[in-house]
Amino acid sequence: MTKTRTDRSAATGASSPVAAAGDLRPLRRRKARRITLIALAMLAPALVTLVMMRVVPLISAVGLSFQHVSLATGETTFDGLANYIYLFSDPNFHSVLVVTLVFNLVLNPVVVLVSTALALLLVQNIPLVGLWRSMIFVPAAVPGAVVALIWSTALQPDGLVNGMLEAVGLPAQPFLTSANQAAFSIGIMVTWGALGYWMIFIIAGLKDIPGSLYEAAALDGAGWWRRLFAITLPLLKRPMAFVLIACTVGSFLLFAPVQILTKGGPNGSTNLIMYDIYNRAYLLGDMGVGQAEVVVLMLILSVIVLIQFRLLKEDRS
Amino acid sequence: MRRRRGATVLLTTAAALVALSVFLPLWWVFASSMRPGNTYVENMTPLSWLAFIPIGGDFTNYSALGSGAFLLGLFNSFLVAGLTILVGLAIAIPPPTLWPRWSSAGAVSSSASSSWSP
Repeated sequence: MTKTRTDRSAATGASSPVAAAGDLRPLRRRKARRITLIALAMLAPALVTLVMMRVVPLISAVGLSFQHVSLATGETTFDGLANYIYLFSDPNFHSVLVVTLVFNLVLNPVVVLVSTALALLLVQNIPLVGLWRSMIFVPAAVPGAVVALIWSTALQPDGLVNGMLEAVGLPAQPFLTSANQAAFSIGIMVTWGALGYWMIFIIAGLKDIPGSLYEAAALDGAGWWRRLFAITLPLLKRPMAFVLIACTVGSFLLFAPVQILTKGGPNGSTNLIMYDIYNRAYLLGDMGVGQAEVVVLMLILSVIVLIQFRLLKEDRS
Repeated sequence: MRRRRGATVLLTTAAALVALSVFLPLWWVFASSMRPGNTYVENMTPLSWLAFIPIGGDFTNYSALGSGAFLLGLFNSFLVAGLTILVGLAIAIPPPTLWPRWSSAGAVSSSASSSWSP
């Protein structure tokens, strides 16, 4: 214990009890270097794994997006921008981009708004609030593939949702088999699986707001709406920004429900970009174009997240 | 900021309604799992209370799990989970903490505990 403590203070030199003497400096520098080496050794396994698991695949994806893998011979040849040119001149890819962007433009704000509304309701001091919160959180613990299976059973023609619709006198809906409703149905199941998770973050943000602000507002005669818009929402900006960004990234990478339920159909209406990548790379066997699409997805995602960061940055007053 | 009694009742009702409707699909999955084969469909159109209350159901579907594929899947899941934990720990625990020279010093416990905290 004491040994390390003297080591550390000698290394930083900040709180050294010994007056700095000239002949001690090389020794101290050597100790500092040793501590740096030890720190590096400690970080090495994590860093090596990070490079192997993240950086190398990233570079190989970008590299492969400029190459063409021959299906006949398995040969890889440099192809320049051909994959990108093919991708951007393909009308199917245009419709994939439109479907993905519209899906996300609708889904993410809905998830943020609904989870904020739920958090506002479930942060109140009401009986059994823990039970209500848990019941809303449970779907977040269900894996995406199982969510897809549950809802495919519930949305089938003679499933639960149509049974309920008919019970209240509404006509049965085709849901996943209709080009107009399939994306909406997938949005519903994704929202259902994510709400409780994001709600927890907003509840944590709500609990961070000092109660004294509300007391002061109440003394000034501010009503519920006024308190919501003048105190709660401005102070919720950070957790809501986090939820929006994390949720956007998550739903751009949405894959399981599409692959399990609709395979991009009917008529391309649920062909989200991740499924299209999988389709091109593995079902059509065109690795180069698939990787080019991965690079495009990464660029789109970076731009969107950058814009969201800019828009939701704290006001510096 | 004391709420009136009526407001508490209203808020609780709203919370309970939302919670029940979010939880309903999962409960329905459980209730349907008690119906052997595909017979859960019979309670769907017209929707009957039996769709949500597993009266008259049995554990046929669960006893069918005891054979073959499910057990293999369960074993594989445990295998993957265990290996993930082991490899994750191997990467997360800095190797110098395992050196004997450090293991006798207090540095081990402090650095080990700092690597545990999320």
